[in-house]
Amino acid sequence: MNVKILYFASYRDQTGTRQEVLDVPTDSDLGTIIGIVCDSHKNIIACQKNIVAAVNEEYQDHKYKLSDGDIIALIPPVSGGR
Amino acid sequence: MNDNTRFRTRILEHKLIPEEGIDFVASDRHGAIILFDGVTRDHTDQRNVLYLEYEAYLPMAQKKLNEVAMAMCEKWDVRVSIDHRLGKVEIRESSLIVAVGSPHRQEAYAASEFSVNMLKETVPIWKKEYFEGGDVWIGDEKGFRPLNYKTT
Repeated sequence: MNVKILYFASYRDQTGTRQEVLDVPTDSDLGTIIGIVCDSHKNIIACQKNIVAAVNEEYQDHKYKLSDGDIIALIPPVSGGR
Repeated sequence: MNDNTRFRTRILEHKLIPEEGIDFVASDRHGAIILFDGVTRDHTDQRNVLYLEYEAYLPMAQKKLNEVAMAMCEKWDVRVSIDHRLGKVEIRESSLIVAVGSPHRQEAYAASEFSVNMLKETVPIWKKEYFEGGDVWIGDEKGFRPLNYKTT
């Protein structure tokens, strides 16, 4: 099945990529895909266990089961302020 | 008042105008309006800041902003306007304006504070700070890099 990965802000700068489509095994969970992404983009600075991701515009944990056509957005830490 | 008229959220690429938020939340039954205006300051710690640049995951950011406003309306008797700016924001310009109107001030203060905290935790909008000598994505200081530094 195919899933689309979106990169924003620091992740986009670090990977040099805005988006890409990956062909992944059926029934992959989100954590598996994040592992694949981290392996192919070693320069993503955040540790893969800590990467926050959204699937189809909703935050999901790494156990979330993906479906064909899902859009995965990797979410860098959002802007601070104190 | 139904929920459609109790809040309004916008993500805008032009200068934010505080009066627009105030006008939206004003009501004959409101005795208090609290305005939070988040503006670009000229320094972070020892760095001299030149300007900020904001970027959003647009459809999700809009959805999450609405959830912030809905949560405020569920918890308090308030009317809410949230405007967030994208793109380049100069020193003294606003990046976030939250207006809250309520019959009494306590609710408006509480809802205002709540909104900024929830927004910073849930809305996918990122801020890049340009300072004298470089730039950095805020929230991701480990990615701190000097100007012209290439990762390839």
